[in-house]
Amino acid sequence: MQTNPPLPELTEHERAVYEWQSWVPGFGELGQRKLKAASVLISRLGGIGGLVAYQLAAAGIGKLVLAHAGNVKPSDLNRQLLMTHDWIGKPRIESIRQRLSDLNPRMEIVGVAENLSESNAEQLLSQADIVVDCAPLFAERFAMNAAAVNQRKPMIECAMYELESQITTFIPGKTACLRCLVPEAPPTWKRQFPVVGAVSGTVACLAAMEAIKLITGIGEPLFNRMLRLDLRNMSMDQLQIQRCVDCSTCRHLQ
Amino acid sequence: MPKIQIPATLRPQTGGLASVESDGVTVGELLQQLTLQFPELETRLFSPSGHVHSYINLFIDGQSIRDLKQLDTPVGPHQTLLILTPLSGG
Repeated sequence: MQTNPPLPELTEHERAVYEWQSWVPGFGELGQRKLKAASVLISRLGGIGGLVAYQLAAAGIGKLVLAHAGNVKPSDLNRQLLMTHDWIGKPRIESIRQRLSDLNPRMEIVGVAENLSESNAEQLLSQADIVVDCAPLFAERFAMNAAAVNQRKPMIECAMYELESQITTFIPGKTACLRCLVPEAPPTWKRQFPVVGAVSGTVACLAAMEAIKLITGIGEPLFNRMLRLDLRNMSMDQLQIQRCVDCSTCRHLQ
Repeated sequence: MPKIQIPATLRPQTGGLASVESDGVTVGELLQQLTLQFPELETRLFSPSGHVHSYINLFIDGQSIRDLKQLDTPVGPHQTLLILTPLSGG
């Protein structure tokens, strides 16, 4: 029988850094040690993924696996808060690594200067306990979903458009997967679309909270529920979602 | 009358309206009325064969019509049909 390795101990410095969150009922030092032992893969560190990474770094996650290709562009800067003006034209992944290390120098960062695809999804996900899907293209999202189902790892799904956002958490075999909801990519979807940075930041913080809940066991993650927010009028819908029995990706799982 | 919640992705086709009241007692009837009122929505919601696109999810008061009676799901006068289109990050 396989046993989990013992949770890492906290240093006195870590106890001081994470003191406020350790006071949360059900979290405590044990929750902090679970975070220190955990790893999360984030695909693309843009408007959503960058803030997910930043919140998890602040919370004391042990390891982040980060995939994002390309160089910083001016149009990144309204929402991609790990990119900075002085880094325009230089590799995004280096700006990401630098900003995160400034906040949490204890965290292990595996930075990959490429986007997630069918060819690297399995290998990237094998290095993490949980994946957060923040990619702009459905090909990437489907590749990540397939790898998450194959490795039976939770996937936090978050997305945005204009002043709206959506978030849910998939557990392979227990909840819907992305393909249950989106069997095929919408042909009208465009790589670039209208969005305000505060919208991506909002859903990013919710995604980070989902990851923290999954890792520490506190609260109730969004299993079989999707939260839809419209920040134009501050309305929120909680939608019941179910597995699709004909799903091309997860129907084989019990 | 029942309401239809229009997502931001489809508001260019409704002249910017986020919510529309529509006549009908089933989800199918509501969508039919909606596309009559806003013809540009037709191809955004339906395939050439007349089926709702697989990536469009429809909810009545938060419950998916897949778990109800699909397009035959009854809709009461005070209920809301929510159209959910897939979004991404970026």
